[in-house]
Amino acid sequence: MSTERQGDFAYLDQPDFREIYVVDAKQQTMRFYVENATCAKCLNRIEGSVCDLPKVTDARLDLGTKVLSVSVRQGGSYSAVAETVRGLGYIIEPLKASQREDENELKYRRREILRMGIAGACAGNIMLLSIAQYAGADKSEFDQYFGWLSLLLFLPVLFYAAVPFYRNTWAGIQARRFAIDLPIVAAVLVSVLFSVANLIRGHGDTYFDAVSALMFLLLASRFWLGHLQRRYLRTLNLYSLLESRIARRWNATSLKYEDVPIERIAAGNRVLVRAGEKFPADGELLSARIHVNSAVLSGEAYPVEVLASQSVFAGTTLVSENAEFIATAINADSRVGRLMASMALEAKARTPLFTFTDRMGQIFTFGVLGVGIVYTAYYWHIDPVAAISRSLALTLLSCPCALALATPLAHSLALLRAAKRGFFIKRSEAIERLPQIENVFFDKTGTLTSGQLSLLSCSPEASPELQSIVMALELKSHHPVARALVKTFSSALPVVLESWSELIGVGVSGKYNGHLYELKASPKSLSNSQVNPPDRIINQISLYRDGQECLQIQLGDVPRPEAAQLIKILESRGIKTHLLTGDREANAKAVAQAVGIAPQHVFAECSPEEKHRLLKAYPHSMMVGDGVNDAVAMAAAHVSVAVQGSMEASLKAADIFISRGGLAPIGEILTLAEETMRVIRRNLVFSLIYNVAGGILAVNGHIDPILAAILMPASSITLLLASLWGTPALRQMSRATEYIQSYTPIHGQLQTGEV
Amino acid sequence: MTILYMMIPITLLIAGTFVAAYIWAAKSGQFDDLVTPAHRALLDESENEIQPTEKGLHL
Repeated sequence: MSTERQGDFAYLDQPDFREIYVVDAKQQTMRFYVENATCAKCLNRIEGSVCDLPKVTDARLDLGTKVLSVSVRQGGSYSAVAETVRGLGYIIEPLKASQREDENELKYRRREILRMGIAGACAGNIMLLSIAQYAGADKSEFDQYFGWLSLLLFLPVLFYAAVPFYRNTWAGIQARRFAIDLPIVAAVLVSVLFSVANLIRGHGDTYFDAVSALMFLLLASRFWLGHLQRRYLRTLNLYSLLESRIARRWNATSLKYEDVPIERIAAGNRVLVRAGEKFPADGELLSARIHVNSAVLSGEAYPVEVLASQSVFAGTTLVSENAEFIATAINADSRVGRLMASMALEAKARTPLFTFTDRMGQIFTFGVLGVGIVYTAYYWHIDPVAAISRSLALTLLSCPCALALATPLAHSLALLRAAKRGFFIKRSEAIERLPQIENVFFDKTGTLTSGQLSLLSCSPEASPELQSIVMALELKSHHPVARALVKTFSSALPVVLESWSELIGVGVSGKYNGHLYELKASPKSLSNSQVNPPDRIINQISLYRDGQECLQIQLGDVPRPEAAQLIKILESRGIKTHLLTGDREANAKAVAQAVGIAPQHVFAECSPEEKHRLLKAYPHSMMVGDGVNDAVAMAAAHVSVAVQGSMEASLKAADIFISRGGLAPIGEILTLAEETMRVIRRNLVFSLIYNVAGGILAVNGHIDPILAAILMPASSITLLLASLWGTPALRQMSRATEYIQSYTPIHGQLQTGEV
Repeated sequence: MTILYMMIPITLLIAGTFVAAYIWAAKSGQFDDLVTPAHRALLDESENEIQPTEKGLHL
């Protein structure tokens, strides 16, 4: 991915790609995702510069979704657009036509806006009429006239604006559940029948004003909620869709590689992959010898060697030099494709959790309706009109809508805060589950450790001169060890070598100041190394000057710097930490000791099935690991967190994906979930008190339906505001977010090519 | 006061035209992007060289 990002966008102007990327054939519109466009200044710079390009007819940036839509005339260049925006310092990615917002979803949203507006207009006009009636018009000749006009104005509300409520209720009835909208629909229907009857009789109250105002306020608060939720969800969708898309296919007639969309690769095609890129399909290698990071399949973070005619797999990353291969299986047929499909099936089979708030909503709804019906039946003999109007007031006032709105808002806000801080939560259920966590299981390689080759020790201490020589020798090599050494000694300036050569499989050599320097694997056994424990060493390399060893370098996997801190935080919260790995016991114990996990909590040499069983045995446990490799274990966990792997793959198996990289966000995630649950419980207590108190007043006749219709949305708004306001810790988090807007963006983890 | 029999339908007619305008606006996508226009308003005239297209919006 990263190399593609630095690559050019010329492919965007090829007909093959245009076919896939252009959204609107008539206007020739292509859409781009501009990751770091945030303010009016960005808007001005991006739109202004793009519009100045020749043959661009329109450029429009949506700051909410960060999508730039560009239309061009015949002969206009999309690659120029992308280059220009990138030249301004923005991260830009073209979006495939299939990645745009669903047509239906847009229509749905527009209808939502229409319903809200029409309900508002009708409610306002009905209010004007009823104010006149309250002011005395009900005693005049206009009473009937006003009444029928109100009914006329109410019809659009009844037959158009309220439709979503009928649908939800009907869906609830079909699923044999109490939909939260059921009391609303019951109240609407009862009050309409009651009002129409009164209108025909010529006396008695009508409730058109109350019901239409209620509808408008409910639609408005739901629209607002939807707006907040969509803002998060759309960003999430766009993130996950940014996958690699160019492949280089051999053209037998022109005898050249040409760029084609990945979709065009077919079995039998000869394909070229560049260093750092992912393989677009499964296939058979043509190149002699390459290094591949297949973490996506095996979880093994170290590059493996693949020789000619061996298999390569889609989704794995090429670490060494360019590779050629013959594609054998593409997309869904590839190994990773099949893996994803099976995980998607598993995720579907997992029944959705009946959340705490769902249960509370059911109890509330059942209670309110029950009390209303019982009360009407009981009071009917005494005063049928009062019975209806009081139970109507009760239903309107005590309906748990406020709760049904405030909880999703609290969840969405938590997801939004999480996304801003660099971790993505797939389902809001995870927020309810997180505070229940008692055990945390960590995967070892790539989770507690960085999963990359790092310098363990150097003997003797490398002098600046030797560092410079090592740099110069390794600079041109694509071997993973070379990349690690270049990174380690990045502060040294490489010397100018008189000659340089790489012997594949052995090492590199070069001449400097008349001496022959060679850098290759040490023949010495690892046992006499100074690193403790020795198991962590993966590569041991020596530098030879004219055949004389002058430097010994040990490379290995080191624990992430923040791991120990995190373990301490978790233990202080009373959460037990465990280490779960397929690796040998000695290795596991060594890492556990380094980060502070008790030796009796180390489970080594576990197969994926054993991991699965173990997590089942600890009911309230969290699995932290690799999204693809640990997928089986994650399925058994109460909550699962993926710290590496591609976002798309990880979120299929895990509940949470940390895109920022590292482990530090796990502490934040727990705090976020706890605080969010605190807000939800606070809302629940508030609405319980409010509804019980209001209900008692309503059945005693102190609140009439119109007042109830105003008080009910008032409680919704109070709860929505309370959710927005959050808690001190949540506000603290939001403020802190401003400073970490620059988190590692996408697929930050699979970049082993940059080691 | 019988004038009310005429006045109210007229006011409702006026209200109706606004509702019709609202329906048109919603259907033509004026409310699709609720974030950017707020920022667009902050741009200086001279700085902002982008003219809306004849259709106003597109997808």
